[in-house]
Amino acid sequence: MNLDGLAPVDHAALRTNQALIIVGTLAAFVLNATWLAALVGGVMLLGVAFSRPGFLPIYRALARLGWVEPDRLMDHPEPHRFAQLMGGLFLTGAVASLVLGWPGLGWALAWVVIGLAALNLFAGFCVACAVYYWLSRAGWPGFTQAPPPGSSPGRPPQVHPEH
Amino acid sequence: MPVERALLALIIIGLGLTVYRLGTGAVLRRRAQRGLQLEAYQRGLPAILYFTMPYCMPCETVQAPALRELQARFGQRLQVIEINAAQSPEQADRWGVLSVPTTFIIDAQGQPRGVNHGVARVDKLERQLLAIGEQRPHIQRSARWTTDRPKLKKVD
Repeated sequence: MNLDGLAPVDHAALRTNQALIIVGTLAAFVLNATWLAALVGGVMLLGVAFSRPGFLPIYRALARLGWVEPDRLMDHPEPHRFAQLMGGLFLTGAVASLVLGWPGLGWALAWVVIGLAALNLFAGFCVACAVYYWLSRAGWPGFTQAPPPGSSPGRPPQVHPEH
Repeated sequence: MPVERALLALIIIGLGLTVYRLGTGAVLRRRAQRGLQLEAYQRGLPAILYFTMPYCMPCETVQAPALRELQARFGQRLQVIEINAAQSPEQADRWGVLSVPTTFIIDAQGQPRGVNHGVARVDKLERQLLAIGEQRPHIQRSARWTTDRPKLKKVD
């Protein structure tokens, strides 16, 4: 199996990130707290800037407690960063809409983020990753990676680093 | 106010789950209309169609043992068909498999009746089989730690 260009990506960290995005955004909606949506979006964009899941420190704390275990798979990190960027931008759009007095649009955008994160967390399908690979296939600049061997766009890879 | 918004959130989540279930149901109905297209399927027996991939840790550590235990409980009254999604991507696409493990419940008439995205424990699979009219297995829970590990029928 050709694993060129792949690196170990901890999918447990990604899943924890998705779970916290869902919980944080849902809490923002229930409490009608724009600041909380802004916080979640900001953490996601910070994560993109540092090329890691935004809620990585919380994941590491949970891992130290033994509540989560690493699940490293040979994968491309770029599509996951793209997914986090898309989520962060959607939440930024949501916050901007809320601040500008368009709560309907704002919370609709927030629910898109919740829905896509839930689809990734519970059904294992990353829509933004699939979009990344489709853009790569279409030759868009900056989108350079193809799906890992044996996996389809958006589906998680199955190769562990030790293999 | 938060209570109202929490209720609204629950309604939205419920709608999302309904849409998800409708989508899954549509995939199953389409599959039923087009036929199973599974050479390994033996008509007259319920089946579990199990999509996996090499190096899928949840498949190796949880799903496959659960299916072996289920096979031990039901014996010859159940067929478990394992498909390597990496080697048969066209089958995975045909069945709308998004990730592995994914298990489909197929009744004795060859109709897909349910799907589990992600790991499905043995008790859940047993409940799903009972729900489609299969009889409770003769092997009771005391036999769950059987050392007999029947092989799953593999299809590549």
